[in-house]
Amino acid sequence: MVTHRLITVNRGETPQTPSRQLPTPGRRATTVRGMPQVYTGLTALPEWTLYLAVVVGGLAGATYAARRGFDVIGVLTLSVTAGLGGLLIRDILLARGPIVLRDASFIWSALAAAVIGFFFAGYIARFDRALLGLEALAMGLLATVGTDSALRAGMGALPAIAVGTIVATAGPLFRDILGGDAPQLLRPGVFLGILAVGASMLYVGLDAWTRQPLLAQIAVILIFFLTRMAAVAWGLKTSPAADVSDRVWSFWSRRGPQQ
Amino acid sequence: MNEVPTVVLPTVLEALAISVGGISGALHARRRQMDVMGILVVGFCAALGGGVIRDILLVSGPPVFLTSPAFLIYAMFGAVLGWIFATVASRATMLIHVIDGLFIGVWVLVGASKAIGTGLGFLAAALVAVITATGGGILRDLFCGEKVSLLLPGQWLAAAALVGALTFLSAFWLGVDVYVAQWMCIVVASTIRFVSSAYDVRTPMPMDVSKIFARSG
Repeated sequence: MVTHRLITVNRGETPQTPSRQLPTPGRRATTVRGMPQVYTGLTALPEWTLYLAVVVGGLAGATYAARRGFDVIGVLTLSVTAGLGGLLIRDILLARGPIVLRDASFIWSALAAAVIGFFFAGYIARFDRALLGLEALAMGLLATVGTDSALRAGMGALPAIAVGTIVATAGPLFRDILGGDAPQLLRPGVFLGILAVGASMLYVGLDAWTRQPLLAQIAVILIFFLTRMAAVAWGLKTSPAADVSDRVWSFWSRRGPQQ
Repeated sequence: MNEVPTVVLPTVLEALAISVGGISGALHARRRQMDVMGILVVGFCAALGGGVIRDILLVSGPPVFLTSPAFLIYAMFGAVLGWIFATVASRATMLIHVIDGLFIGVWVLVGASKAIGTGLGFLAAALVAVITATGGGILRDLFCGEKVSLLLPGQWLAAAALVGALTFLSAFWLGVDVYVAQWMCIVVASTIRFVSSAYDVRTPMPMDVSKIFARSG
């Protein structure tokens, strides 16, 4: 080791990240040159669907950044976090090397979204209803991908539902937090997060019942899309948290021991 | 393709860089009337936050500040300095800016080298490098409940880190000697940062093509 330099370089062995979980045979997995295989969570869907989901999420982040008056770094950051956040969180939760860092196509997809958002935010704003639909498709896909990969990692139904919900909703959540808003996901509004919970539950149920992951995946994505669009069309909104303590208290005080 | 470099800084520089991060975080928290805990936490975030995010992303075991506690001591030392000697430290803001600017490239290098060592490709390594250099500032702003200053229009900071990372990685991938590539990264990142703050060069804003066409047509 040379000591008189500012930065000494240790030309040693490359540390390898052990792959904790191998993909189930017959299920789609991504192999990156020299890297252990990581199961994508797509049962038999082609991989471009996941890339497309990243592009759609990234577009939502990038247009949000452009609308909020952020600069080029803001657009890049929000498109990367909104597009890749869910898949990143999934791999962190499952304690394995994030696939979005291993497979460069994911980052390219997010970058493509950033470039489109940087130049064409005005055109995208005219098609906000279409973007809403695409976002719904992407979120449905992400919910099933998260749930499926948690199930294949050997988790039970409840943790898998939690992972699916987090994967589907992390993108918009990160986007709002970084943008300095109270997350839209957590505030009363048109059904979104609750639908992601429902989609993950439905996927666990359908997967266990039919034993056809692909069928379950497509069905859940379609159902999620239709319910979300119906909620948007009819303005189905969640209400603020209700407080029943007064009612319970008056019930008990009426039949309490003092009477 | 070159061998994988692992960046090991001389202890004095490492201590200086991390403590200065801690001081700037502590001053930031102090300006927002935070208490002791706030100063320590925000100082910690500003000093080590980027490294923590990087280690979580790379899934390379526990974050570095847990495996080598000296880092934690440097950060806390800096935070305590910024807490007790706030008046002195706030007069030395210029010095803190200069040291911060000089070390952007170094943090980029640390992140990039670790990412390459884990086997990541070009883009992923650039992403991890920029996060290492700037994640602390994002965490600091989030903990203070403010707009993330990094995303707002302003001088080149994350953009300087990004250009530095791209410089290092392309030089590295083109087969330039690692030492040369590292110095290129440090010089490029710091120069961009200093030129940007000296002449108030702003980051580019999104160009809405639809508006340009609407104006011309």
